[in-house]
Formats: sequence, structure tokens, C-alpha cells
Amino acid sequence: MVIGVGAYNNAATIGPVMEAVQAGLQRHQPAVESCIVLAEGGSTDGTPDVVRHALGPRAGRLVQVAYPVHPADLLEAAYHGLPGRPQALAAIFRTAAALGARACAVVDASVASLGADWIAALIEPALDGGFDFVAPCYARAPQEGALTRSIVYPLFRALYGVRLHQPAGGEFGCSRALLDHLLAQDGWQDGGHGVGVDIWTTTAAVCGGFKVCETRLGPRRHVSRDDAPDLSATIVQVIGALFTEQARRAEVWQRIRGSAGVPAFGTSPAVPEAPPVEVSQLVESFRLGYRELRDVWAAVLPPATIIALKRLVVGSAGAFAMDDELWARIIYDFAVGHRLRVLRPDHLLGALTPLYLGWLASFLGEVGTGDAAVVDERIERLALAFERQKPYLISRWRWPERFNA
Amino acid sequence: MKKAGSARDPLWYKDAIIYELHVKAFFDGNGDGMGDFAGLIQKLDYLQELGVTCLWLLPFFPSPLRDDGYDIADYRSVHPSYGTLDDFRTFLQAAHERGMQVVIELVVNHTSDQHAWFQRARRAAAGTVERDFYVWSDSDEQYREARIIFLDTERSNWTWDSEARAYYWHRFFSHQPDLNYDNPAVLEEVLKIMDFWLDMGVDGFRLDAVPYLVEREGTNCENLPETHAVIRRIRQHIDDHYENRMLLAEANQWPSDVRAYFGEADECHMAYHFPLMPRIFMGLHLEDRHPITDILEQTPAIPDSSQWALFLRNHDELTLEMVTDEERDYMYLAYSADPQARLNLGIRRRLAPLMGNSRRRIELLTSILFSFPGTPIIYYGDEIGMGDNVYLGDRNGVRTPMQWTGDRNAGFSRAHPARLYSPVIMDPVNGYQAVNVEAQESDQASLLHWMKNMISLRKMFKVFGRGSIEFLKPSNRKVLPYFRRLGDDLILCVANLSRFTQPVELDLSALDGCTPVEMFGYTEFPPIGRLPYFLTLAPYAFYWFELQRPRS
Amino acid sequence: MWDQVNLIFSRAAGRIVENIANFLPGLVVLVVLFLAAIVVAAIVRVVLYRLLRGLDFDQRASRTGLAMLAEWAPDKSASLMVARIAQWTILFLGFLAGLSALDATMPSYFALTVFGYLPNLVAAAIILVLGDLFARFVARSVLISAVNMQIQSARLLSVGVKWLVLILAGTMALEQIGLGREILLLAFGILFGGVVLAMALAVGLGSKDAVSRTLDRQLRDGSEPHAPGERIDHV
Repeated sequence: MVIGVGAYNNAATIGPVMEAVQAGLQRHQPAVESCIVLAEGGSTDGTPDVVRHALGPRAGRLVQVAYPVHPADLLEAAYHGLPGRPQALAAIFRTAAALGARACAVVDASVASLGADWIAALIEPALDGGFDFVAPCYARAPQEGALTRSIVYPLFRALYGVRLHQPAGGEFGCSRALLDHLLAQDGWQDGGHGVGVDIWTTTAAVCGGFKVCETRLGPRRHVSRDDAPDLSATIVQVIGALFTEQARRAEVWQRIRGSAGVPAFGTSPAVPEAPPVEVSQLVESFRLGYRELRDVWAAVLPPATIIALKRLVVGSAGAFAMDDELWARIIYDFAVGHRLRVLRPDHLLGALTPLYLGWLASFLGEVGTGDAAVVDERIERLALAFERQKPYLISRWRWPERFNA
Repeated sequence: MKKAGSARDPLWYKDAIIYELHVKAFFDGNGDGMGDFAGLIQKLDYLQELGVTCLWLLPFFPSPLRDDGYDIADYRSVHPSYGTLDDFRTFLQAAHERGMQVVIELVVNHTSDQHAWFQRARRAAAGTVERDFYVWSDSDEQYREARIIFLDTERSNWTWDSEARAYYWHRFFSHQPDLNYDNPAVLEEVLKIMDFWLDMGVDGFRLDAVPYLVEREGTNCENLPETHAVIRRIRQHIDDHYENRMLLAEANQWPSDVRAYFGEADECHMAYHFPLMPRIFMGLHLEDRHPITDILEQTPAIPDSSQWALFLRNHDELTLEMVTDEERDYMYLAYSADPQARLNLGIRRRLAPLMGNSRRRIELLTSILFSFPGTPIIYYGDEIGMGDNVYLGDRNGVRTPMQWTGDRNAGFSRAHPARLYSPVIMDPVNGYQAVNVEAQESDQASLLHWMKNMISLRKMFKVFGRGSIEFLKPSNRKVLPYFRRLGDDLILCVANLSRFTQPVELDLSALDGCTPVEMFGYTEFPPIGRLPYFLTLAPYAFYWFELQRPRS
Repeated sequence: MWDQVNLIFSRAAGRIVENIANFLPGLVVLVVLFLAAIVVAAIVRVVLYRLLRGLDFDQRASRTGLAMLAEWAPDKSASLMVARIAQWTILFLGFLAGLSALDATMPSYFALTVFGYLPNLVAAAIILVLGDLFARFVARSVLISAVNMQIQSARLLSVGVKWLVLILAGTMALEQIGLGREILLLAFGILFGGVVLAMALAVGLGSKDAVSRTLDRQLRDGSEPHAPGERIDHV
């Protein structure tokens, strides 16, 4: 088996990660021959030395491969923080296949909370459990990971019928069969999958009919870089990748009805603390967005939706609540607009930010700092709304008449 | 250098949407009044946007153009009016980059009398290989049982050549002498020509007039076993040397005879279903499904890798060769009140005028084209409902310039209107000022947008290209219902052929518990029970239902 | 007197003929040079395009981020864009060379100005059209970004930027034509300064509260100001 780590100037964080990986391998799978693959993009801060130092004398089980980081990768920072991640993944996958690995797990070099138990959790289902894709599931505070909770999870679930909580997680495990399947797909040249390579991977696994499971990893503390993209740029990247995959897989998701849970391993640890968020400020952002971006929204949203949003704006901030069905339809309309290229994708998705902040305000207003069960129940309701509104998406997708631009 | 074709699935032609176009008529890039490859390249984005996946080009080879290019004078070049071989290569690459396959026309039955082979043959001594490239005879009495196809222009299949001092054989015009496939050198040359284009990356050939390759005394000289042997040789050659290429046979024959052109999946990949098309028109006019179901039930099964090519209209007349005399009379009475519209054994009109410009009828027929088993072919211009001009000679009335805008020359060319190879359609109903791409692109409810949606919907369901068909027989014969089935996918199509609202009761008891979901709007209909399923259809309405099984 | 008139007339006619005779070769050179430029430009375009395609320029461009430029081109191919730019540059240079040949034989200052004026007019028109396109694009970009940065006067900002670009384009166009250079520069300076000042005032007044709030908070806990939810991990 192979543990892959992609790194580019991660000297500050990669040491503990490597130690944890090594410890994980020794503790959980000493019998299985294993190898750590470091995909390295030409760091200038001595990352490889840090790795070697962290692994100590047993660095013999380390294979270092270089992957190209193109200038374009450095122009715009990626939300996951690893420039050229598609090339890094390709290098890890190819190396793993060449080494004849039975299973492969990928971890991020900048996760401070990575523990030795993560390795086993990621790789065991693929190695012994008969699963092909092991998705992560993190424990997070209500105000964290809201983009995943509010769009990525429910949309992915409604589209592909699989209840994966982190379809674009930075860590995952996969079987040899899936590895070969992924490598056989088009688009690996020159990082063709772009910044959303994780969403591409997960979608390919789910659409290819592979067995998928989740593994609970606990909290994920991620040391972000100085140049980490702001919320709006993150939305453009993450949701853009999701929408792009959606357009490519239309013939798959339009046949799928309902959804099914996936087996989950591990226990749910306590939810970590996170800095509080001022709900009134979120509402204010949403109102500002409505005032200034209504014309842009009107290019994709039907009049009824705009009027519903107006009701939210004029209502009192205390009772601010965005209806789940409304939110699902908004996301679906943006997806159709994205496919039809009604606006430039970065403009379109940039205009989604205030709407998202509005949803976040409504969500936090409802669950407050509630415990995990309350949040899960709330998100389940949202996901069901996405599933109920799926016919709306399909009809808009198939017969996109009366689009306003 | 040998270039690969663009398709990766060997059965790509089963899921294709083919767009038939004439380079001459599509778009003029250099302003000489005639379409060319430079112009076609500019319009590839339009075709990609439309959603078609395969382009079929009518002949673009050097030719005296006495039969619109079907009289080829040189198989390895491009007619100078359309550009150069390099232009073709650029076009091919541009089309492949947009995910479109390219099928070109190869007339293997005959050449132009201007072809170097024929000029050489008429001067060569009798009995030499050069002479025997064509079929010669001292009398015009041989093969008397072979029918004459172009009844309106030709009196005999033999024509006297004063230079060779012999008669030569031709199944079509007298300026198109037939190649002699009894001469092995001919097939060898033809294979070399195919290699020439396949090496360039062309994805397939349409083999024109394929039943007439070989002649034998005492037969009608069509569909002979020797002809099939030639096709098998061609297929074998392509399979041995290339991947994912396609042969499309033009055999205007009864389905049982066309069946032979698929062989045991060792002849052509595709063949046209000629008799279906006039019967769809007939069924529509009679408001009776019987002609349509009848012909499809007569259609024999074909090998798994084979595929029917379906069309409503093409660059030829709506041919009525494969109908009975009575049916032909009916078609003439129904669709060509103006005798000017008739040509040979057919009607030379486009789809929209045949349908009386009724949007509902055009949509109904297109929905049938898209949901019947086979690969649909769209004739250029029919996606916007272009008209025709029956007063132009031969079949030129359906080969007029594509109507891009409402500007001069329909936006087709910047040339002086008098220089155009053919006048544009100018009548007030179908003329370019009323019917053009620009206007329809800006109108969300236009036929063009409707076509785009239909094409993208069809492409989403492989069952249409690959599934089986099964007709239901409710008592109301004005309604045409059928199942399409592929694996777990089951689709029910119901079409109303009548100009009035029709009720229909369908026996769907075998599908008890399933829910029909109308595909265009994704609307759930009431679930199917044990009682007959009752539907009403508006005039010319059609429903496509995905039948969703109850969730377990 | 008639003799006089006749003399002057024939002299004038002679001079005109002489001028034309001087002028014609230049015109011929202009036409020849321009035609040659057309041919060369076409060849360069085709050759360059082939060469770049052969070198996989499109892929390389996408790696270096140059492809972002190509997004502006209608057909999204970086090599085609480069080839087109080369073609137009050569065409333009050819035309200029032709003009300079004309210049040498130009009989009158007037004709020279008329001919010399043409490129400026064309350039001005191009600048205006491109400026308008760019202004719209920038206006929407600014609007969306500003809203996402919680700037209350986002609309004002976007309209301001749009007019800035438009004014700049307009000034550049007029500058090209060479109309009232001095007054134009002055007017532009005043206008530009005015717009900036107005915007600064508007933004300042509009976001006075926000700024004071932010400053308050900063003084309180010393942390940097953030847009709401900017400190948490959304993905």
C-alpha cells in the first residue's frame, strides 16, 4: 500500500504530518508492505529535507517523485492550498500503480491535526473492507465547513444519490481498481482537472459504480497559507468544479432518484471550537448583495425567486430564515446558468457569495452553537429539500427556455 | 503519417447525431459566392452549439459538377472552389477538437467521364487492364434487366463512346461511367484512396450507390453476391488497418435487401433505412400509424454492432422508389400538388414546406426521427425550417445557401448576389428574411432552440441509439405508441399523428406500479395501475416518458 | 489680358500635372507596399499558427497562465490569437511604410494630413470600441468584488470605474485624432481628479460608520478587520 503526500513549500507543517504517517503505518499495518510517496513540486524551503529528517533512518520506505508546478498554478491560489494538486495526484497515482500498490491513501501536508490513526482509517476499508473509495468525514463546528454543508453535500447527494459528507475532502483512500480507473480517464495532461481535482475524483468514483464508504477522522485543522483565497474566490473554485462535473455527467445524474447512505467507520469525536461569527453582519452582506447584485442574479434566477429574496431583505433581521426549497432552487438555477454560460463563470459564482452568506446567516440563526445532532438534523432537512427540488433542476436543464440573458 | 480517428468508442456511430451538409452551400469564407472549407470552419462553433456530433460532407472533390459533385474527377484532392487539401486538414482538426466526427462521401460505383482513369481507358486497347477499369461492350444489349434510375434524363444504361468505339455502362448519368469491379486493379486503387483519407483522420465514409458495383447477365444487377464480396474486402481492409472508423451504405432498397449490406457485421456498419421515411410522411398525412409500424415490423434484425441511419429529408428528392404504386400515388397527391415538385420517382422538397410550415408537424416528425431505432441525420437548414425552390433544376432547389442572417445573400456570402452558385430562398414564408439562424438564436422559442434542446436530450439517453423497439397497438390508430428498451432503461413514446386531439388507452398492466415521467419537463404522471392507462394528446402532440420503477 | 489668364492657367495646369506625376509613383508604392504587407501578413499568420500548433503552444500557454489572455479572443486559442496579432501588426506596419513612401512624394501638406490622418481615426475607433467593452467588463467585476468585500458603495464604485475607463478611452481616442490636445489634457485632469475625489468622498461618507466600527474593533482586540465569516474555513 501507498500513502501519498503532495507538497510544495510545506516545510513548516510537513514534519509532524510525516511522523504521524510513519507512526500510523507502524502501529496499524506493520504486516503489509508499505511505502510513502512524496510528490514534490520543486519546493524552495527544503521540504524534502524536513521530510527526511522527520522520517529518520527509516526513510528508505520513502519514494520521492517530482511533479510540475506551472506558473499558472501559482498565479491564483487554490482553496486546498497545494499548487498543482492535479499533477501531484497524478504523480502519486502513477507511482502507486507502478509500485503495484493494493490500496492508496492521500493526505494533505498542511493538516496540523493529522493523527496516526488517520492512516489506518483511510486505508483499511480499501485494503481489507472491499471498498474502493474512502471519503473523509470531519468533525466540525456549526459555523465551519458551511460551504460543504450548504451546497457541496446536498447537491452531490441529490445529483448522484450518494450521501457523502465531504465529496471534496483533502484526504481519501482508494483501491487499486479505482486507481486504474482514474488513471484511464482523460484529462490528466497538464492538470486538466484544474483546481477541483478532488471533486472530479469523487465524482468519477461514484459514477463509475465503485463501492464508497466514509471514515470519521475527527477535527481537521488546516494551516492555511498567507495567500489563501478569500471566500468569493473559494466559491468560484469549489462550486465551479462541482458545476463543471455536473455538466459532464448529465446523463448519469439525471437517471438517479433519491439517495442512499454510505457505510461509515470510526466514531464521532467531540466537535471542536471555532471563532464565532456575527450573524447580523452576514445578513447585512446579503442585503448589500441584494441591493447591488440583483440585476446579475436576475440573469439566472426566475422572478419568483427574486421576489422571495426581496421578502427576506425587507423582513426583520431577527427572523431571518431562508427557505430550504428556495435555497435548493437558487443553487440549481446557478448550475443551469453555469452550464449555459449566461455570464462568465467567475462573475456568476462571485455573485453567489452574498446569497451563500444569507443562507449561512439563516442556518446559524437556527442552530446557533448547537451540538452535532442538531446540525446534522438541520442539514438532513436541507438535503431532502435538494432531493425534492431535483425535478425542477432536470426540467430547467433539459428545456432551458426563458433564461433572462 | 497515419492519424487516428477522433472517436474512442468503436460504436460511436450508434450514439451520434449526424448533420448532413454541403460545403458549397454552408458558408462562403472568401466571398466568391460559393461555400468553402474556410467558411465551414468559421461555422463549426454553430454546429457544436447545436449539439450535433458528426458531420457528413457531400462530395467536395474536383469534379465537372454535372451531378453536384457525385461525378468525381479526382479522388485525392479538393475542388478548388472549396479550398485546398490543407484547408480540409485544418477543418478536420478543428472539427475533431470540438468533439465532432467527420464522414465524407466516397462514390465508389462510378467516376466522372473526366476522371484520368476514364480518359486513359477510352484510349487504351481493348483487353488491357487500363481499359478494363470500366465496363465496355460492343452492343447496348447486355444487362437488359437492369432498370434505369434517372428516368427523366437517361434512355439507356449504355452510352456510345466514339473514341473507344464501344458502349460503356452507367447506372446513373451518361457522364458517370461505372467502375469495373471484376478488374482487381480497381478495388486496389479504391482501397488506396480510402487509405489516403483515413490516414488523414477521417472517421468514416458514406459509400454512394453501393448496390450497383458489379454487373451480371440475367440479373437486375443490384445486390449481387459479388457486390457483397467487394464490400467485405473493403471492410476487412479498414478493420485490419484502422480503429473506430465507420462505413455507411447508401442502398436504396427494401429492408430485407439492405439487411445484406450489414453482412454478419462484416460489411457496412450503417445503412440508410430508405422505405421508412416516405411511410412516416404517409402515416402523418393518413393520420394512421399503420404504414410506419408495418414497415418497421418488416425490417429484419441486424447484427449488434450495426445501425440504421434514419432521416426525414436529405439532399436528394424524397425518394418513392421503395413504396408500392398505390402508395406512390398517394404521396404525390398528398405532398406534391404542384407537379413541378416531382422529380424522377420522388418529391424534391425540404421538410418545412412538406409540412406546410406547421411547427407542430415538424416537431412531431423530428421527435419520431429522434426516438426511432437508429442514428438520426439532420439535413442542413432543416434545424431552422429552411424552405426550398422547386423552380431550380434537378435537386438544386433543396441545395440552396444556408440562411444565416437577414442580410444580403442571407449572410451566406459577401459576393455580388448574381455570383452566388444558387439564388437564396426569397419567398415571403420561408425566405431568409423570415427564416435565418441569427433571428432564431435570439428567439428562445424558435425551432432552432427547440432542436438544440431535443438533441441534447436525446444524447443523454443511449437507449434511443442502442435500444430495441416494441409497438403498442391501442385501438385508436391515429396514435403511435412504442417502447424503447435498453437494459434497465425503459422509455415510452406516444405520438399523435392526427391534427385533432386524440384519446388513447394503453395496456401497460405489465408495468404496474411504474411512474411515467415526461422527459422534457420532468413531470411525473400518475402511476400505472392494472387498468388501461389513459392519455389525451393535443394535435400532433408527442410524449416521451421515462418509466421509473417503484423504489424498493 | 486673355494671354495672361491663359498663361496662368496653363502654368497652373502644368503644375497640377507635374504634382500628379510626382505624386503617382508614391501612390503606386503605397499600394504595392500595402498589398505586399497583406500577402506577408497572411503568410506569417498561417506559418506562425502552424508553428505554434506544432509546438503545442496552446497547452504551454495554459500552463503559464497566458491562456487567461486568450479568453478574450473569440475562439479561445492562444496560438490563433498570437498569429492574428502578428498579422495585424504587419498589416499596420506595411501601411505605415506605404505612407512614408507617399510622404516623400507628397505634393501638398493637405493631402499628407488627410492620408496621415486615417490611421489615427481607425486607431481612435478601435480604442473606443475596446474601451467600451472593457468598461462593461470591469464594471461588473468591480461590482461583484466590491459587494463581496462588503463595500457599501459598490454600485457607485463600479459606475465610477466604468466611467473612468470610458473617459480614459475617450481621451485616448481624442488624443489619437489630435483634437485640442492641451485643453483635452487639462480637462481630463480636472475630470479625472473630480471623479476620484467624488468617489473618495462618497466612499468615505458612505462607509464612515463601517470604518469607525472597524477601527473600534481593531483598537479593542487588535486583530485585523475581516469580512464576516472570513476567518472560518468554509470548505
